[in-house]
Amino acid sequence: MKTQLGSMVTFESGDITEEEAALYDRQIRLWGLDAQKRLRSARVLLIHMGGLGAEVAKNLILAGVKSLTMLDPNPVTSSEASCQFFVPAGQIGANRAEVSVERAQRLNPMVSVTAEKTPSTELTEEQVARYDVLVATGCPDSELTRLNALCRRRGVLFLAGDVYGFYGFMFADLGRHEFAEEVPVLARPGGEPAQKRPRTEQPESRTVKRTLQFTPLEDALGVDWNAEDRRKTLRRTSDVYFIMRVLQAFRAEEGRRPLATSADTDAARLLALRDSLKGLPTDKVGDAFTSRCLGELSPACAVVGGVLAQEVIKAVSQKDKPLSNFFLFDGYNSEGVVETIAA
Amino acid sequence: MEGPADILPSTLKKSVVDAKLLLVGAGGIGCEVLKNLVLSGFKNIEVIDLDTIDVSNLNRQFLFQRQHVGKSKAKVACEAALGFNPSVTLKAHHDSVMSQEYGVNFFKGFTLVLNALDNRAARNHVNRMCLAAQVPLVESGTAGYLGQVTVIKRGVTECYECQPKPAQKTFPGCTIRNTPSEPIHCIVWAKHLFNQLFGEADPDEDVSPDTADPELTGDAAGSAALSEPAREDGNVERVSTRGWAAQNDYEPRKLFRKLFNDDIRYLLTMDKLWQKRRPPTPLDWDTLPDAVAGSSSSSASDSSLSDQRLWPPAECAAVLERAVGRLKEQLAARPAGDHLVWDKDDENGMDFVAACANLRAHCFGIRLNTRFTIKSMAGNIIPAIATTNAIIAAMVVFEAFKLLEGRLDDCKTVYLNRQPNARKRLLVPCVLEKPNPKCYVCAEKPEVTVRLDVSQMKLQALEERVLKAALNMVAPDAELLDGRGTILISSEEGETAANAPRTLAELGVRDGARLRCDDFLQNYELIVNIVNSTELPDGQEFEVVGDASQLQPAAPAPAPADGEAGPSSADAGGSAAANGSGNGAGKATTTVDDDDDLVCLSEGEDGTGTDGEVPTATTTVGTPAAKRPAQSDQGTPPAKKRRALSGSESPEVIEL
Repeated sequence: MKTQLGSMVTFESGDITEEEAALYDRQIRLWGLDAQKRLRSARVLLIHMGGLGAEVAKNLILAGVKSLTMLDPNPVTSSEASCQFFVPAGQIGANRAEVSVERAQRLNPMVSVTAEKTPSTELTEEQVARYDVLVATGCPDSELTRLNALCRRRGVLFLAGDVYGFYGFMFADLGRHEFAEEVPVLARPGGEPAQKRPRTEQPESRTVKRTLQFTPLEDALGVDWNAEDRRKTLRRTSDVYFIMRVLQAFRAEEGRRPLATSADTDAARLLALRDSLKGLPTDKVGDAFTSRCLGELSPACAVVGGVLAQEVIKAVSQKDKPLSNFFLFDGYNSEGVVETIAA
Repeated sequence: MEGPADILPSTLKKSVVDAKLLLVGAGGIGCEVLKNLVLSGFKNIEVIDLDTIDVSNLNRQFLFQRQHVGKSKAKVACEAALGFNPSVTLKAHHDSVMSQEYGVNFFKGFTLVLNALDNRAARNHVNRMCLAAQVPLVESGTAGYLGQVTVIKRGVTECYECQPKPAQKTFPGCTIRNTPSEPIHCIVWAKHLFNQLFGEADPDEDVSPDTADPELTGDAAGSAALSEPAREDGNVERVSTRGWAAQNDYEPRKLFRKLFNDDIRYLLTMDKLWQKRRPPTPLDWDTLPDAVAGSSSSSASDSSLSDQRLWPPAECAAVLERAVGRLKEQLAARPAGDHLVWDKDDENGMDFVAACANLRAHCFGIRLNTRFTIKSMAGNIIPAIATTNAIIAAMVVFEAFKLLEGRLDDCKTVYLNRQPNARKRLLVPCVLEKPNPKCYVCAEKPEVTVRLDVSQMKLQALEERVLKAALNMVAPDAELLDGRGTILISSEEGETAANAPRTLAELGVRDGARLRCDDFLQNYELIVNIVNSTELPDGQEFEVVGDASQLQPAAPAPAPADGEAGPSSADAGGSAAANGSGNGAGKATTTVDDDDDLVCLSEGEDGTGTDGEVPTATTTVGTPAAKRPAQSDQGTPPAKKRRALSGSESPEVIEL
């Protein structure tokens, strides 16, 4: 039974090759050879190839994971023209995952890029277990919690995210996650003379092993914000979290995201949902969001996709402290915060 | 007609579709910005980049693939982006943005300019052009995990040059030539040696022992000189290093003996240097160790990559021998009088520097480094990844949206942190600063003061090193304000060529002289006040002072916060901060805006180098800390709070 990434992944026994060293030079100089090797062993399942999916795929393929499987039963629509750079023009109606493979693969021939057309709802525990990481985008909460549970049972790292217009979120459940962190060593008074400790070199730091326990999405969604002890933290919790709740509720009900083609009716529906959602604190969500949450805005996909992919890289390499457990983004107001939301 | 812009709010849609944008740079940030622009509904974009594609770009500049290596970045980027939306108008310029072709009228043709650059000179230039053209500029930069974006609008915000940028770190000549104590000193020495042997010889890059070392008294210098027959000018060095090498046919073992034995023995005669220092050990080719003392099976050594393995001194000598042979051939293949230019990606040049730096380190008991690490330091490499660039590029576009929507008041400087700060922010937006009224670029009537020795500095040096390198003019004119309209420098070819080799004093420039300098292309006029000084710090040739009042001894700068990563030399550029844990830099001041609960921490920059940046002459332009309080009309918070917010909780600033 797998409990953590380190024990379950079979490392590619070979060293980084000269070819890889040349290609990955600028990132090896940042996170080191060891992290690059671990990346090279990572098998990623990415659900839905919308704008956010494309950004995550691009970043992970460039980083040099072992394999990236794009799972998407949906066809290309005109929405993809505004966010999905893997889809060539004139492919409306074709399967989103399949048409994305060619351009995605070209980003890095060393990564195995494949497409699956199965709906995520049909994924079984056995299938999920074949991966090290599962990234779920564009799914309603019910599907996210289902996938999260499957991942938990098999020690698969679970990350989720979505983008609605200017807004976006990322969530992570890495289970019981062990990682190494660089901690600067503070100079002791009367320390070593300048000669021995060169000033222009990196300040000394030591590597410390840490463990962080994550909680499943279900926990976070179960929080009662109206409870007395929550009200105190409510004021300091980002509004964007609650805007996301409304948008996810819309997705669950309508089976899609709010769209430009139905902007007015969608806006009305969103406001109605906001006012009726159980457990949603009033006055955390104004009206303005309804005109800023249409489609998937490309730069919003880029921010959320960048943060999410970097979390995958950190988690797989077990290097550096992960964000725990939500990243919330509002591109209209340049807000990007991390919230820890758990029962 | 449906298009990507349909999802934008109605207040933004039309201005996005109608906007004409200039993207300067098609590299790490540029590729990502271009993708965002095309997918967001922009219809008209011009892209300019002088560079071609390299293999090391491919881990993040995702518009390029292996088959594009060697081709123009601007052109390939535009071709690729066209594939995302064939109806967009994209124009590529494979050119330098600093070229005369791109004047104020060119810049005026754009609604906004977006910078995606990696060097200061170009940023300074574009800053001036946008000020002159009155076009808003969105500026950005990344290094490793960190990044930032800001907005520059003439008359409203600080310009790129309002706050003095820290000078490139340089080391005193005697440290490089006589008393190195750190690997970086050895690396700089090795690069200088390359130039002395194969490249463009520079008198400031001498590698032989320095008898003019200020640590030596007259006696010590004298006694050292006695051990060698003196020449007329008292200098013991008989021929140039290049001359000597050529005479000896670049024979590696002879070279080795001179540099790592004879010259070291000479240094040892300068006793004063070694009274408190570990003296160097002369090396002998045949008795070099073939194992590295103290190295075990550390993580670096389990790699089969030769780059990542520490070479014992014997191996360094072997590498040196091979590299010298090949470089000698390369030089011989060149036309007479031509020379090699050091390039970190040239295998032989890099081998040479790595081997020499390590041999020198071995002499002085300094620890050795792998070729991989030396390449970072010598080549000024900034580690870079796709995700940071993707995030920052997106924030550039969000600032552009604000400008197009008429929300200038909402524009911010945004910093990307590696970890959330105390207020949970991963992205830290900061209020934009107002222009510096004394900025020598964007003030109404810019003025600057330069201290130099009028009897020593030649006019040519004033033009090249002061006006062009330090003050970032491209094609300056300079008029002496002496009541007679004396033209010292004319940007027209040949007009003032006769003046070039003469000293300033000979041309009538004295203490207190004022020069009106201007660059026609940048539409930039600057008054330069000359203060005659025969004693400049650190043996500098000149010192630029932003404000005459700064000529008073500056208040000592606040102590750096823990974990400050010091900058390395001008030549070896690079920053420790960029390699590994990005540490916050030194001085921190805060501006607290109570209204929207926005805390902005502006930190002193730690002088990170950038890829390919040209080392400039040392300039010190006052202390940033001294200037800051003049700007902040918010009132600074009590010192106690300021300290609490510095260090690990502050946004880590990478230098733009």
